[in-house]
This record gives sequence, C-alpha cells and structure tokens, in this order.
Amino acid sequence: MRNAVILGAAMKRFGRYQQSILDLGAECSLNALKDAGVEWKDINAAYCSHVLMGVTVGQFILMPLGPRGIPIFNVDNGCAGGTTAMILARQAIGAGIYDIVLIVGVQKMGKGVLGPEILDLPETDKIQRKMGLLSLPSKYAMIARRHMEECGTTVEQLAQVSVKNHKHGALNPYSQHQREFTLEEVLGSRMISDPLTLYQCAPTGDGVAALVLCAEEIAQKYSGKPPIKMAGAALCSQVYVPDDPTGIDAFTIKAAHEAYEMAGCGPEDLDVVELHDCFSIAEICHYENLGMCPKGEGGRLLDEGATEVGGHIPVNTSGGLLSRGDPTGATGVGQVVEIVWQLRGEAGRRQVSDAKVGLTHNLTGLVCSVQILTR
Amino acid sequence: MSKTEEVKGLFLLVRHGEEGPYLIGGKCTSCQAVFFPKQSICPRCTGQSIEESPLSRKGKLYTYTEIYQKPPDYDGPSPYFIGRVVLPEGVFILAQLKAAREDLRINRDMELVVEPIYRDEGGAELVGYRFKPA
Repeated sequence: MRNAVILGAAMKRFGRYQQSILDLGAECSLNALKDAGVEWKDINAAYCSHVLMGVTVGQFILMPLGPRGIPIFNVDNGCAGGTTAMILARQAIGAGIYDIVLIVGVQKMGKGVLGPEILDLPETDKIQRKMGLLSLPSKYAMIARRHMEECGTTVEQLAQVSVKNHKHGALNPYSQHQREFTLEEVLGSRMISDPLTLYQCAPTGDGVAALVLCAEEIAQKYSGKPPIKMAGAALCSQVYVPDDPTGIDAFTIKAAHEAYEMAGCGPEDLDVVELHDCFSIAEICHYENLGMCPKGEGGRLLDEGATEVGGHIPVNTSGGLLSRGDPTGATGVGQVVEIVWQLRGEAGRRQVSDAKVGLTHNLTGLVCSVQILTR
Repeated sequence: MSKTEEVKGLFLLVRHGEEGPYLIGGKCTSCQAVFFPKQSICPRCTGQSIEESPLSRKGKLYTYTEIYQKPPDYDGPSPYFIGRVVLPEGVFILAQLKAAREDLRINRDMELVVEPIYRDEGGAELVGYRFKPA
C-alpha cells in the first residue's frame, strides 16, 4: 500500500446560504485545488459526500469545472460521509489506482430535530416513530442521564462542553455561531430533551468543505505547503451489543483501536482532536471511547481544562459541531480541514502550538470513522 | 384467538395474553438470542429460524428523558417521557413512560401497559405500549 497525504484543504463558513449547493461546491472545490497547487486536469477521480441531496450531485457540482470523463463517486454515509469518502479515496490511492483525487462534502439542511431518514421504513419503525421514540436529541439525552447516574457527570459539566467549544468557535472565522456562551446561557436555553438544552445540540445549517489527496511519493511535485499524512484510518459500522443497540461507544472504541494500530500511535501521542460533539454529552463519552481518559472520567478531564486550547489535549478547536456547525455531508470534511490547518500552523488565534499528530472522529447513527493525521 | 389477541395497530409488537398485554420478542432457535422487535433474521448469528417469544411485563428503568421538542411523526402531547427498560431476559425496550417526574429514577421497577396514547390530527387513535412505575 502506498501512503496517502492531504495536499489541499478549503471550506466555506458553515451557516445559511442562498446560493445553490452546486455553486458552493464548485467554488469550494476550486479553492481546495488552489490550496494544493493542483489543477483540475491533474485530478484522477472525485468523491462527493452528501446526505439525500439528489441524484449524481457530485457530477453536477463538478460539471462547471469542465467534464473530463473522470470517475466521480457519490458517497452517502450520513454525517460520517465526508470521512467515509476520504477512506475510500485513501484505499484507491494506496492500491495505486489513482494518484490524486478531490473530496468535496456538501449539504443544505432544513431546521428542526433530525430523525432516522430512511425512505421506506418497516412497519415496526413507523409505529415507534409515531410513538415519539426515535429522535437524536432524546437518544443522546438518555445517554447523558445514564452517564450522570453511573459516573457522576453533572448538568454543569454537560453545559461546559458547549461553553468550551463556543469559546473556540468564537476564534474561528469558519464557525457557524462564532460567539461565546456563558454557562448560564447554555443551561438557561430552551429545553430540548432533558437534560439537553438547545445550546447543547449542534445547529443545522448549510456547508461545503473540500480536500485534495495524493500519493505521498508525488506530493513534492505540487504545493509548497507541508503535506499531511493519513497515518491511520478506520471505518466501523454498528457492533452487535444487545444492551446498547444504537449506542455510540462500541463502534467508536473499535474504530479508534484500529486507527491507532494502523498509525502506530496511541491517545497519549495526540496533540489536537476534532471529535463528533453533535450533543454535549457525546464529547464527554468520546474522551473515554478514544482513550483520552479512563471510562467515567470524561467530566473530570473537561474540568481540568485539558481539552481547551492551551490544555494538554485540545478538543474541537474549530468549535466542534456545536459551534462550527453540522451540515451532515460536509461535517467530516470540515473536521479534517481544521486538523490540516492545525498541523500546518495555519489555525490563527486558536492554533495549538507545535501540533504534530491530530485525530478526527466522525459518526452517524450506525457508522463511525476515526482517522489519525500527522505532519 | 381465545388465549391471545393482537392489539389493533400494534399487531407486530404487542399481544394480549391471559395475564395482560406482552411485547412480542423474537428468539433465535440456533443461538438463543432474544431481541425486540421480532425480526426474521437473528442479529447475533444470522439464523433464520426465529420463534415468537413473549417478553416479561416487568423490568428496570435503565435511563430516561423528558422530551420537550417533538420529533418528526409524533403528534401527541408534550413534554412527555421516554426511556429504556431492561427486562429480566436482558432485552432493552425503548418506550414511552407513564409517570410523574418525581417517580422516575434509574433502576426502579417498571411494568408494561398498553393503551391509547393520543389522537392525531385526523382523529385516528394511536394505541401504544408504555411502562409505568410498578
């Protein structure tokens, strides 16, 4: 297997846009090519991540750049689609099929609570939906309630995740919210699903982000910027756990283990992490699942300030999903863009000093990916 | 249907037995895994010989939440409680809870009830299963 590196990265501030997703996607793709020092004619293949945005969206996005007959793959793996596309591209580069590829993640979203978006649900699921059992905030609220019972995690600690990530997001010009929230504001915002208040739930929004990946051996032909190595990557789907049929722990632990092993490193080696904080409690659980602290001590790690910029393992320097935003198909690509900027030393006021090893953790209901990126 | 009766609208999930309603679990005849809802393939071993397994009416509350913002397709009153109840056979059931806030705590004993939950905008009554403090 050849090694793959990230040559170029670009994104637009996540938020709400009038422009078509096709225009936004084309513009962002060109920005990633420019950042990489690569021309469209050099690209061997492209991967477009999106969630239910339409038929062959990737082809429509890249049409204005000039149709060249290259393979363009549309990837829908929920909020984990962006990193899924990268993992597919990494495999193809590794196998020698392509030398240089484009990844583009795009999404436009409506407002409100997301549920499972399967178009043809079985009857049993339809009844459960009608009974109001299937929604993401309630799933995470129940994870929170159990974590509080088992580990002594407090509502203040949950809210503090949001305070921390919004503090980071206020330093990031690409963040959707871009403002700080006090603990009182977070706790006092509208209750969505007890104990999770509105500002502990990632906002919906629109977004685009793009990357250029290539084989390590040809990277020096292009950009003057340091290539970022894709040292480890793993994608896991749901693991059969009878007592946790839709949980978030088992497949994260599995994916992290596989990615660390591939990269030959462990959680103690990480300098910066972008993890999937779709709800405040998720960040605390994933500190534990990614091995950053023992099980049950996620709240303590947060209280120590370890995961703030300036702490020993800053998490979600971009603002995370809570502040930067979570436009599903673009979310994972956006996480990687942040880690690329951090490892290049381009992260401005939220820069982690001398960051060498970064991790992205990206999930959706039944899929989880973990990647280790190094400079 | 002398001994058991399917509950209208819930025929895939609930039956009414002599001692009251019960949830219809699936049991794999190969690996003995028990699951809910019943499905035609065993999620543990892919076995396709699945028999119907009446589940216990009582269990313990594993976790819960009070939902303020209604999810898609739910037309009932809010806020309302949902939770996960673990049954003695090790099966976790996601269900509405019929209880006052102060009566809910993790690990307390709960029992199954089947009853109308709400009428939707078209006037159709939704019968569902819930757990209440035992």
